[in-house]
Amino acid sequence: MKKVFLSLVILISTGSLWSQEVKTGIQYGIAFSSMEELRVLDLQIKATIPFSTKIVADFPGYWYYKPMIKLAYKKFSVGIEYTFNSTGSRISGKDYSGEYLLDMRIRRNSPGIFAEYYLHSFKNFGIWISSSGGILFTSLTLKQDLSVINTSLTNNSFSFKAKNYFFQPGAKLVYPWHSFDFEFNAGYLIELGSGALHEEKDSRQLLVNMVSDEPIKPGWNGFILGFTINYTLKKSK
Amino acid sequence: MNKIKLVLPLALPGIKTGIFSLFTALLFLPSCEYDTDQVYNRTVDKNTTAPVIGMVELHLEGDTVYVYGSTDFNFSFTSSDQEIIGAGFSVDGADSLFVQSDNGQFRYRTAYLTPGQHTLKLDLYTHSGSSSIADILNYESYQFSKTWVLILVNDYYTYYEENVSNGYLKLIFPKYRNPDLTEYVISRFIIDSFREVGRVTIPEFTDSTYVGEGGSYRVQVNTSSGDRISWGEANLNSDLPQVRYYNIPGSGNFVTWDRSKFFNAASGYYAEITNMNNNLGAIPTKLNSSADTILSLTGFQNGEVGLIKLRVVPKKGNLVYTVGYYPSFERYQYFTVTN
Repeated sequence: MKKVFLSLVILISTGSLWSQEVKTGIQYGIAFSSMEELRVLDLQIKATIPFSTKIVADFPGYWYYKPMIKLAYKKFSVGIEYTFNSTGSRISGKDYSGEYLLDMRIRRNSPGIFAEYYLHSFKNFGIWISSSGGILFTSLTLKQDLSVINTSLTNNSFSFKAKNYFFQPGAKLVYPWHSFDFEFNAGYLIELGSGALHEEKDSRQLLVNMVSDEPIKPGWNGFILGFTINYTLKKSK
Repeated sequence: MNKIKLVLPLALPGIKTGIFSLFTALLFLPSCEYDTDQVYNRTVDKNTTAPVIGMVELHLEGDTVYVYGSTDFNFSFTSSDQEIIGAGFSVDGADSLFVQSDNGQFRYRTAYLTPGQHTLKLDLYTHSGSSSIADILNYESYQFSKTWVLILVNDYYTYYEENVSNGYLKLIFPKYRNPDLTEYVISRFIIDSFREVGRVTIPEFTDSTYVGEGGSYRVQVNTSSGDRISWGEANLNSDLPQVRYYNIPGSGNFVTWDRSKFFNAASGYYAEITNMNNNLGAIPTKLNSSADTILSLTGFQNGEVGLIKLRVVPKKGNLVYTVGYYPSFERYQYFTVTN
């Protein structure tokens, strides 16, 4: 994957010599990730807590951002991208005597390559389909904090990571304006691979389901809705 | 003054404006990393009142408690409302031993205590009932304390002597001093095992069926907490009447015996007299009163040897007699007739 990525960087830098246009852009939007296995883990942990708690945040859709650079032809473009996305959950219980918190924060850093193909246009809008793929580097921080009568009884923090791959088919609506392209993007991210979350410093220590003992994978699968601003660095002559 | 000019490395048309625009857009992006400040405020009730504590098995009114041997010391409490968490025990001011219980029953082991007098302090903890985190994790509670004088008795197990009262066997044993006494249970060894013969609430037992045949008795104490304490035993030797022969010139030959010490438990006597010289067989005789203690001998010549078997017959209810095992009720005596 690294080789492919490097090849594309070289291709884009040299391709600018003969391609139609070179564009750079930033996309941001909301990713709705399923996080199925982590949601189940939250429920299992909640069930073991002797007092009433509530899952006040359950891996909601959250902002992602994605800088990119691409070679654009009339009906086709390819490029490289990098995505950062995060979400999380919280189990909470608080009263006058103390507070319990279990926070999960999960992040993904995913470099990738993408290709887009022009389909149709009406008025000033162009309709394109796209697909991208790359590596999913996931990091998860799990913090548990219990304090009773101003005394900390538990204050633990665990860090996990995982490596997987992704494939993301999608479509976009493009509105060009001067040197800018404004895009509305929609896609579905599919997590590939069997990389389970393991302790950051010891890959043998896996995060597992409390009932089945099965290793837990990140679960980034889900819909992605975004908005992109592209700027044309080099226009066709 | 030197001027520093920021030169972007890309020599492409309009690039400065474009990149500036993109980075400006980035500044307005939402926070990149997810976070939340939501919390769930639990519903609790801070204004609870202390429960009323009740004692089920051991009565708290007494300030002195006796502990017999290594018998466990049982406490059982009830709470009118909030659940009981546990109890801390300390003896003579030593470190407290905490025993957790969800039903208010506690067993304090006294095996390590030395015999004699001690001070026992009990601290009982109940939940506060607020349902707060501290309450549920046992960091918030109501506390009730009570102190007793604790007297540990190790040598309570005793061996009882035979005691006769009004013609009955009477076993007298030391008193069990705690108010959780339910009863004393008296058992008697019959054939091959102990069988219960009575239950009393005072430390004495009268066996209205024992006639001196000998036997083993065992006493146990039952407490309201369900404990059964071995309290003592009595091993009685046979104590049947002694038989004697005598001759009254001109009146004849007789055998006689002392009245049974347990005369009120005896319904009478059964005797068999055998002339050992003619070997004609025994002559059975039944005496229906324990006051009859003399039997006339007939058919004996001077110098002949006789054998009398005297059996003390108990009133109904003697378990040993009921099963038909008579030898322990019988005494044999040879005699020689002298006219």
